[in-house]
Amino acid sequence: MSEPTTEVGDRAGFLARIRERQGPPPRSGPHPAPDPPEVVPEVRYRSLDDVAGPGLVDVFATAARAAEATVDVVAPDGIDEPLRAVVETHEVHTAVVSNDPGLDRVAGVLAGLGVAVSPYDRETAATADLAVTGATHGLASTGSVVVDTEVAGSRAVSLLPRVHLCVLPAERIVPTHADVLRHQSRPMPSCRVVITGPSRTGDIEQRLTLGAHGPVALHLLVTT
Amino acid sequence: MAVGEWPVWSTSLRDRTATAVADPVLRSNIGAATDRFGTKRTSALAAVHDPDGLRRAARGVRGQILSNWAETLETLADNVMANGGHVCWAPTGADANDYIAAVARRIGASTVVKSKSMATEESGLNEALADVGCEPVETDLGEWIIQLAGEHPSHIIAPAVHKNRHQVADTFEAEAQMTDRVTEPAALVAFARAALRDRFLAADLGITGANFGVAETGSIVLVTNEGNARMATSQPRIHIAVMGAERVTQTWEQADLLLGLLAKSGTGQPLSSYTTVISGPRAEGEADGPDEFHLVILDNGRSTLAGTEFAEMLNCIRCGACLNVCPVYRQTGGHAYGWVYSGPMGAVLTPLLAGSDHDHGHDHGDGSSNPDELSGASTLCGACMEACPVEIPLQDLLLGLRRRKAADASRAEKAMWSAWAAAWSRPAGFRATASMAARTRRLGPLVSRLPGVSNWTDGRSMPALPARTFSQRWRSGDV
Repeated sequence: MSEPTTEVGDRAGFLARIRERQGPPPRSGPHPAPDPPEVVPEVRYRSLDDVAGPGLVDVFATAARAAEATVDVVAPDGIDEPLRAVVETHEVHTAVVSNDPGLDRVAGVLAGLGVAVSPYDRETAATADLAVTGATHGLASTGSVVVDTEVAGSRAVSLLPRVHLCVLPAERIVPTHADVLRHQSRPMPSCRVVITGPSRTGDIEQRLTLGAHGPVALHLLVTT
Repeated sequence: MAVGEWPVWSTSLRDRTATAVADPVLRSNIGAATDRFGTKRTSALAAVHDPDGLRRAARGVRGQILSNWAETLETLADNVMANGGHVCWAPTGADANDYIAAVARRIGASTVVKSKSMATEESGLNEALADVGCEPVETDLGEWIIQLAGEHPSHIIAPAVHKNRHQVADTFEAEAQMTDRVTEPAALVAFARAALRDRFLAADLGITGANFGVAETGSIVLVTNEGNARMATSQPRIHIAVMGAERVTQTWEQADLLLGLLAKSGTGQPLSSYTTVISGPRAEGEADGPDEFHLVILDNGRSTLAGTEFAEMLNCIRCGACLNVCPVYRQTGGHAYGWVYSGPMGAVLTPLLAGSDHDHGHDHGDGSSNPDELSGASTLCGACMEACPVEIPLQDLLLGLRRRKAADASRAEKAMWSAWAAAWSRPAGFRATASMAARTRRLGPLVSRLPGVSNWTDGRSMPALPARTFSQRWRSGDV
């Protein structure tokens, strides 16, 4: 990690070949290129029309369910029942918990339900039934959650276990991806992932199948 | 079609198309898949305001980036290095392969896991790695299936779309030691998940493509649904991303707009399951992630497009939307196009990249061909431009390629067309040929047997010519 970085190849030559040719796109032909927009427009989702404040939670939940996630919206002292349901539904015996602050209570409830809870390491996570993480943001329009390595402590805690449980305080829900992607912290975390539903593939006969390489299920626990 | 036979210029487009069209499984699967992608795309875009305005803006944005292409790449490389990454400038696919093979040799890598990357399909990386004793394993499910089967992708984002579940099961039995045959998609996926997870955990080196490189923070963005790019960038101790040099943005505003259109246009999802942003190797105190991050920036002919009438082809973000709407692709699937890229974008890009060392001639006379003939694999209907998230005027570019090809036509063909143009530019000439045709109409059926015109006459029936020309009937008041 502390190794010096290297650069291989002829940067100057590579860039010179481009620089001597590059320019604005052709303005001739039947469909001439437009001028660049003065402001790069944001994607505006119809589901957010006339929605503000607390209404974002409903939009978030609807979009997340459309992406095959399951969602519970509960008060902070109401997490026990949803957690019990997750443990029973997915037959959870083992769980790994990310470094996100504020997950102690969730870990405690899981332990009380007989789940063997441990911090992340690769080998444990690779066979664990459940991953528990927080999220830095929720994106209402697409039902996504944003998980940063610098907070979670690892890239794969939300990836290797069979089921991913993400605990999201409602006040972290913002309207769209623009609200996060356009305001990246500097320096960036080494890895940031925007998660929209569980892992999936349609590669065999276009049949939607969950759990290709990552979690087969994503449960979002929104606390109000 | 075995690996290593690409690009396929030993057969003609006509022959490859005939093979594809004669395969009922392929046609039914391609038809179903493209319909489904198309329907989902329509509803994903209907969920946002003014999608056409966004596509137009995205076109403007891509033009702006590529007007400052060299500067953008320079900033990206500087910031990748500031983040602790290594950078390789690869003018050709062979340069990229050499660099990656050298890294693999240095660490003694035996298993290499690959996430889906069209750029490494282009460079033939898998063959290059096999040559140095590494075993590259494709981990996108569709890519793995066709790697096992020894085939090539038939769709940019659904590489095994030409196979049905039974054919997949056949492949797993023959090539992946599946002992208890299953044919349900869910069971096939579960088999692949278990087999590939072992490879992920054992791999020394992870190789991915890059959907975007964002210059201002030195980040690369990877979009997947399966999570295989997340695996390849978290488990092995080295991660190498191979990025086509044009896949850059200057800012996160630009990347946000393009990401907002990519999945909607490709698979018809609002966003793909995982949008992963990588900004360097594992940071201090993190429990996993690679010790080294390398970005390989691949030119491989791309710079030759800049400043030409074909420059906007560099705007392509590889979503696959143009394939799904193309009346030619929907009949043939991707293999008939003969190289990595298919559909309208492939018909434009292939001659420009793969064709840079071919002459632009016609049929070579021995049944072989060259990539320029791909410009004929289009009806010029323009559905591709209407579907394109960055509004590339693909039909104009295809027409431009036809013009380029026509400029190299044989002397005899040029003479024939000039004679026709000269004759029909004058009323007397037009009348003479028309009445000649009317007089010789009984010879019509013979035309289809004339030597050298079979490409035109096979599969078409000549209309019956009337006894009198339109002009003659007009003058006598019959019409």
